[in-house]
Amino acid sequence: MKKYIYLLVAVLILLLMAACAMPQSTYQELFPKMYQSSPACIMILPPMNESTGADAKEYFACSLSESIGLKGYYVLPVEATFGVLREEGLYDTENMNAAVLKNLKEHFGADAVLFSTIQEWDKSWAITSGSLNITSKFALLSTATADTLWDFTMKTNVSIGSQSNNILVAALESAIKTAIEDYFPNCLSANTQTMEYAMPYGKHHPGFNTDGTKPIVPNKRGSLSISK
Amino acid sequence: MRIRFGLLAILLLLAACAQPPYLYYGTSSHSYYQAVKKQDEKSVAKYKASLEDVFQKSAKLGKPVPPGLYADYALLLMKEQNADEARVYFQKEMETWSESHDLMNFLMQRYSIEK
Repeated sequence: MKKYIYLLVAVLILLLMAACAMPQSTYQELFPKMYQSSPACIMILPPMNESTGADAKEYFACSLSESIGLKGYYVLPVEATFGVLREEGLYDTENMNAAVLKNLKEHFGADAVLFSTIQEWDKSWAITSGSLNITSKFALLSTATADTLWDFTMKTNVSIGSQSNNILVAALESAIKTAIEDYFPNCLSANTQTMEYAMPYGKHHPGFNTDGTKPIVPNKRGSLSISK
Repeated sequence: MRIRFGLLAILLLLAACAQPPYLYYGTSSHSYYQAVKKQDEKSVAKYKASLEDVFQKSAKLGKPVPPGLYADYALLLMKEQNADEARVYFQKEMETWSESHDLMNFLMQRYSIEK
């Protein structure tokens, strides 16, 4: 009997070790150019919306400054930069090219620009509960070289439940919430948590240059769950 | 005794994990979204008040005002035709964040309020 217990413990230890040995990388290994060039000033470009969510673009445009600012970067004010891009006919991020990026460096001092693509913004509900799925892809490009310094894709699930014990009230509440709710706080939370996890600290953050050896998933993809 | 040390270590670890953000944004981003979305006087006034709250709280907390918020306030003042006050806030942005120099100078030239 003792033999079997030892065997079971050995198998459990091996399973634990296998789980711990999941492939991992460090921030510096995954984003070496981010550590070499240390961009300080970031310009957020108008988000690109590939999803069916009509409001998603505005949610992203208004929340990304805070999410990136909290990581220690100087983020050029979106209201001003979007206005200038609109006037210069550069509001369509899809049309950005290396020559324009160099101009953004020269005229506004931007070291890097942030491309964000909303790939999925899907709301669904089932009787008493609803959910919002957001998949977003981010890429930070150097304005000097047009090289990608950092990129990450995050999938976020926001659960939207009703507090009511009455099933009819809960069903109605969930349906209304899913349809007309202001999802800005969820979008801000999703983007802030994405940057908190995936983006190295910028030079103004007290943690700058301390995260290079921290482990991170090597495939540049992650998932998050948020409760409304 | 050992248990006490263990508990203390866990509490210290938790305290380290729960560090407050290094900047204070308050509700300014959400208010900005609502002002952009609704485009009415009430939402813009609420956004302006949320920026003023950030300025006050940041000073109280000894933190810098987050990037861009002085400049956003200056743009709101420009819409109110208050150019003198707007210049003060464009300059505050420059003093707080050296990276903003080029854009702030560009904006002040654009509004013809540079000194």
